[in-house]
Amino acid sequence: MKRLISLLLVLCMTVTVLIGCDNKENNSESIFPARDITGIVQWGAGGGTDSLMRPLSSLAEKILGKSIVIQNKPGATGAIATQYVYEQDADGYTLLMGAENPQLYSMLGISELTYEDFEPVFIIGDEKVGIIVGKDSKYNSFTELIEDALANPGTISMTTTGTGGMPWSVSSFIKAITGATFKQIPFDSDAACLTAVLGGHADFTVAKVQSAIQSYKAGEIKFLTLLSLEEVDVLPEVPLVIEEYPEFKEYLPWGPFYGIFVKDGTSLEAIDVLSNAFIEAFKDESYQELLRGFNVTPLGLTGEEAKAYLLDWKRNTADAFYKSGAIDKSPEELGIK
Amino acid sequence: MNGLAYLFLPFQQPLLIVLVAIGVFAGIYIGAIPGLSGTMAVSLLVPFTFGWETNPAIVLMIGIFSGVVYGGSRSAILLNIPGAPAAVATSFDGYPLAKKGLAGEAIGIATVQSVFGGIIGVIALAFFAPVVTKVALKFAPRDYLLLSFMGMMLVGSLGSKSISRGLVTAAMGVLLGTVGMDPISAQHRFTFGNTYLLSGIDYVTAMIGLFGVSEALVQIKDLSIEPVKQKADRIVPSFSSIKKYLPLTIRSSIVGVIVGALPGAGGDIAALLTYDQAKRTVKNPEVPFGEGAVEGVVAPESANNAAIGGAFIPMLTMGIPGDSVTAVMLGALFIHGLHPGPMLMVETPHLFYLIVSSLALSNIFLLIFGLTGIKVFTKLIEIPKGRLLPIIIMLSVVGSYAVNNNLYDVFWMVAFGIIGYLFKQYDYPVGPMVLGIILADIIETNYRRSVISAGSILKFIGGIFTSPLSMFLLSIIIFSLLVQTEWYKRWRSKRDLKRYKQD
Amino acid sequence: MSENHKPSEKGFSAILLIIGILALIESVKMFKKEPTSSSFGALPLFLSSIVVIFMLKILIFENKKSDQVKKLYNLKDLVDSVVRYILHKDIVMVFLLLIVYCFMLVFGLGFEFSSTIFLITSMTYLMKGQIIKNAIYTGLAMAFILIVFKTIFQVILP
Repeated sequence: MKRLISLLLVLCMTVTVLIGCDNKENNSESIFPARDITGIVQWGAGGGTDSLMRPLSSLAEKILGKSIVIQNKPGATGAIATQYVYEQDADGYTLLMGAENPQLYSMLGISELTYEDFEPVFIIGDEKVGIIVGKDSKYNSFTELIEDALANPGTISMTTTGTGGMPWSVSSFIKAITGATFKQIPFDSDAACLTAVLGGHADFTVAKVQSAIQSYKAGEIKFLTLLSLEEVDVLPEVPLVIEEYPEFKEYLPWGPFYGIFVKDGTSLEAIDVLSNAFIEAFKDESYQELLRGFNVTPLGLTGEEAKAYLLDWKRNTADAFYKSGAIDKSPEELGIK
Repeated sequence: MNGLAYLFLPFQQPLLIVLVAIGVFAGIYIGAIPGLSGTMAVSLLVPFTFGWETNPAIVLMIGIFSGVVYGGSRSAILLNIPGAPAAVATSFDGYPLAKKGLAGEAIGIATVQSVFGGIIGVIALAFFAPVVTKVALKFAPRDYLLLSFMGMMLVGSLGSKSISRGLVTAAMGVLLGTVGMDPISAQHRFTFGNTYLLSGIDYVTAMIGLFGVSEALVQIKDLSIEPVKQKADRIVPSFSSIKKYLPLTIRSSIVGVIVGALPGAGGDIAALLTYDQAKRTVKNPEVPFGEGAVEGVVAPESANNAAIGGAFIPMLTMGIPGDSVTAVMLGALFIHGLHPGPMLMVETPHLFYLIVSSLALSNIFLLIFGLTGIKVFTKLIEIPKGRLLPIIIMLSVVGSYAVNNNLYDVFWMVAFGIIGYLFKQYDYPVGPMVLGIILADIIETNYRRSVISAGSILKFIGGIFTSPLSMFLLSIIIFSLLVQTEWYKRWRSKRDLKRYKQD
Repeated sequence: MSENHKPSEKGFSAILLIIGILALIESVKMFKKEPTSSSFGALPLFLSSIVVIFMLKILIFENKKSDQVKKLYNLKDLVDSVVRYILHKDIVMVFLLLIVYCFMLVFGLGFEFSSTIFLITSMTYLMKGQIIKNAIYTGLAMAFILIVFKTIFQVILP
């Protein structure tokens, strides 16, 4: 008898499942946003991208009137998150929050998607990067480093975050312009790259101003040069790369950037509402102060300006990659120019 | 205020003490539930505390951190499902103890040892931070490799029927760890075009499935076996037993601090290493390891809590996180406008002392909350299996989902559960597989880094001999292996025999 | 070597060997793309080789000559004993319930509902009755989970 009851329950369950299949309702939304929004971050919690997105979202939530629930989906230099958001509906309820890496995906074979498959909602800002060496390093200028590398190709060691990461991209720039090549030792994060240089396990790395500034102030590292067109206010004494290698001008400004995107095809009203909310949040003094603290150059771009920025960035990077041999298809072949 | 005075800040603001207590309490229960990790809890707190003042936010996170690392031991002991990867080693001997009815004692020991380890970690942080940092920086990729190799040696100890089986499952585990996109070259490995697999197989999911669900399935066969009545008397370990294990505690904690201080290695690795070391160095445990040796709980629990203090060292002195929880806390600190790093002691010394004192406080609360309520917990596993097992399965589902809010994780967890079940039925050890998955990344990336850095495998091996640190680690490995051989055992028994005759 | 000979133990070992070989093939493919000692295919190659080598060792050397082996040459008996050993009635039942549970979650039936059904059903089945007690336990467990997860930690439940 008791077995019979349990069998009946199983049957009930199965029937319920079958009924449940047809029960997916679609909410018809008139005003966007009618429910909470999900923000998918390409990188891990506590990282640079995450630390910029969470505060901005808390501020934007108040303007939108609905929560923005943040989830981290790190992996594959952001490709996992990108793929995930792409697979959701283009209704504006799933936001892709990430850094600059997706622009490189198709070039490097990481994924078929890039930010062209998305609409930019808001581009927060970008950062400057520079070359750093340990405090006991024999190099005192970028030129010295390059000369040594040209004399001994592939022996000077640099730490990177793997193919497609920021240091790797910069090494392509360097090769394209100066022809210098290095021994690249891959690490997991910008922080780990820095630690390796501090510990004397590598000659140099490329670091964001933000990541390296504390160590610099403490005298643990030397900043050889900055990849910037103008002086960086927190590091006025560090020479700019264009002073020693003016050819870099062609590729600057360049740096990791951070933005929020939605899938292509999302309605213009939804994008507008989101953009405006983020613009307001962005303007908040507490957020501006946060950006300053992170040494992020505020951009606050939306719409066409944002698209132009993205295209420019992609073009510069593809150009350098092609010249340095990092990729074998030219930008024209990739359809970028 | 003078920096040192900040040590007493919590006592001037009772709110902070309360927050530490809440954090520890919450942390214990988060840690005890498999699938909920400290990293997740702390990262949930970040936006939550965005509007708060800095001090309360930090203090709460620290409480949770301490609680979670300890809490994982609860479910490891009671259910053989480690609540956190740091507790994997605890389950090896903790669970057998529970099966014998000594769960109360096991939890009591775990609690006390965690507190000891935590305090040693705090001391290291407070007084030895610069020294430990220097040592941590010296670790080159090949040293990480040697360290992870030491962790893998645990395979030899965990093997059941034969070392071969342990090796096979371990190799399979590491292979599973390679699934996904290779971080170095961005190539897809073993993904077969599946996007989900691109991010790899999450070890928490695997762990819950391989340990938890499989155990639940296996036990269904034994429903008729009465749940073991738990002896609820000897919960707080006696003073003499604490003294007996003190050398082991201290040793494990020191290892815990150093490993915790290594960026990229945290409490979980520390626990595995110390468990293995304990197994090889404790001469005659009352009970063999793997069947309920108390030392098998002492070592990992003190190590993983000591690793907390250790993890803060690089975070505060260099701004580089020692493990994933400190990585999130780092982000939180940045958001609050603080700059952990070499300038921390100069610009904001109060932060350092605040962290030290709240860590110390959290250990006190750990002791209090840990020792109370044990009776309730042990009664839990006296629930008849027919009811307990479904609950365990449901918890596993929730836990694996909670990792990434992805239902696929649940399916994989179930798959691992089946794999684990089959393995157990056919005498293939499950432990090494989990070990392999956890250590896969460290082993591979450091191997490749070392070879790239040295230029070739030969040069890499040569490099080991040129670095004192590497030689030190290598000699530990060789020694540990030797201790297992017959040759050494014969030498020892001869020596002991001689001594015996002399007395 | 223990005395217990598990049904089709060799069969299972053979399956593992096949998996190892498949992994080896994949690894070789990967290694070919970049044949250096630090390539992304190096470690997989090494690992799958270990699996294959040691599985072979297990299969060849851990030979138990027992009467049972002779008996199991009859395919029907073989299948029968495997089924009895692995597919224990209760285990299969719980497993099926687990699958249905997963399906319920996938089809968006809601965590609370799916879990409750799963718990009550499996408990009742395993305890062979005592629905009331089971319902109470289920209620307690669900209450605990819901309070802890949803309210306090605001974790998104399946």
